[in-house]
Amino acid sequence: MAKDQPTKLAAFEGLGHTTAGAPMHIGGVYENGAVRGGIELPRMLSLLARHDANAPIQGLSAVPPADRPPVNVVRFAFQAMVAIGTLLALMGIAYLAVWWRRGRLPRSHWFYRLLVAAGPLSLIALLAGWTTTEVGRQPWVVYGVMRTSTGVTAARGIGIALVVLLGVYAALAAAIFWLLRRLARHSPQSDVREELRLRPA
Amino acid sequence: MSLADACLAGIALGMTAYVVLGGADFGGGFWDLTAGGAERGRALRDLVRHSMGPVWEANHVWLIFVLVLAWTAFPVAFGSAMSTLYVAGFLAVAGIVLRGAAFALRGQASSLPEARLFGAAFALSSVLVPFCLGAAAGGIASGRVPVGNAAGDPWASWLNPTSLLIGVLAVLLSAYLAAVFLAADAERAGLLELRRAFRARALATGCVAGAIAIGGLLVLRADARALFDGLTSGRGLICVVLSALAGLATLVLVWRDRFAAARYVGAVAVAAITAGWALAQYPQLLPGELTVAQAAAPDATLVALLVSAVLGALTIAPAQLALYRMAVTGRLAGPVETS
Repeated sequence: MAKDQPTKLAAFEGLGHTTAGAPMHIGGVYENGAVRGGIELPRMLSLLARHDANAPIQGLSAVPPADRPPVNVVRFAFQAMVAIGTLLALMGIAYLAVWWRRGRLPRSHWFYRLLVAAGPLSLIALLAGWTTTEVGRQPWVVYGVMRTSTGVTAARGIGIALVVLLGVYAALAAAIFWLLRRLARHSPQSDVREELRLRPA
Repeated sequence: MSLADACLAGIALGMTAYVVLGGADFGGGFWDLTAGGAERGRALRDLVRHSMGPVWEANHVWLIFVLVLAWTAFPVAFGSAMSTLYVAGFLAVAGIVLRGAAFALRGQASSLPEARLFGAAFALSSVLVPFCLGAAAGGIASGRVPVGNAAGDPWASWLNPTSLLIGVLAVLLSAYLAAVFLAADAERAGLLELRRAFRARALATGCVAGAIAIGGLLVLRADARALFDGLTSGRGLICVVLSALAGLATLVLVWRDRFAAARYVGAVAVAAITAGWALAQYPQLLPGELTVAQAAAPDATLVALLVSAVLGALTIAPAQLALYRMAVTGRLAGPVETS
């Protein structure tokens, strides 16, 4: 990415200007060309992107403001994705460590609370990843070739279509929720269709 | 044959597969919709659900195949068609989503009103989708898609005589194919009453579809003269005659209870029509606007596309074939459950 989509990488890391030995930040907010309030890891970005702690990394200011994505949206999504991914990996390591050292399952309640959270978290990480790559490419729909604004359809009523589609998916979500709740209440052994058959129509 | 022609042939092949296999799938919904009240239509609906269960989403592979070929090989034509025909396209997509969800949820319904709600959503979208896709095809065939970003009329492009004709034909053809498939399934399951019911339905829809197809030529003559001329001369005419003969042959086979053979001959009738459409307007891709050669992507793209399409087909075809094989020989689902 440092080679092919340098502006996207700069948005991930909130790198305002082209820097030799560029740092990484955990957390923080991008303001006026720099990250404030994050934990700085010196030279880390250069090391990861170029395998050289002193390599220059292209910053956002290398392209005109109109060619830059909204940095904080991209950064926040990227950090959320990395944080969740790291957490999930650590949980796997913790589980394996307990299993290998003690030959049993972890006993900590926190491990299981995290395990319950891991399902939704993985979905959030997935969405954050999409946000990172799609918003990070803006304002281009084809990087460096075609603007999103020129790629969009000229058809009218797209707003209506969007609202209808949201309605359809909201109805589907409600139906799935209803279905899962029913399946959770009835034990899987009792076939719902059996009941339908016994009930007079 | 140029690279672009090869891509066009691939699109026609995928469309044929989608119309035959996906059509039978949608047609099941048509018979569900017209089966009558909950009590009266029960046995019929049970057979539809039983037969469709194993294959009902697999057929969208063909639609995806056609779309990918179309947008990669003919990007400008695809963009023009999609942005002009977006209302029909949107309705078709919404119908496909609703249909799949309703079919899955209906199996979990525990009361009659629930089953009715999901059943109605499933059956209505089964009719909506082939109509909208057929109407969109009619818009392209009758030259109502100009080149450009949403340059055509968003309504008249798919609500016009040719579109209505092809949309209605798509629904009837689906119903016909489904009735033939279901009659064969009923026969294998030993449900003789259902076999009779679907045999009658197949003969009726087959005759109606054939009559509308022949009468429809007059509609095309008035509304889409270039398409009509293409279909009534040269290679287009050969395809139309072949399709009519194959259509007649399927009716005879259904009449004689040869449902398995009727399936294959019915597929030939549909294939002849899609090929006939392509040949009738060849070398036009968007009639009056773009030829196949003008609309084609650069050769490097077409080569990459054809290579990956062949590799994809080699990967998927054995699995799809095995699935259909098991579905038509009844090895996938157990005995028909009655609800």
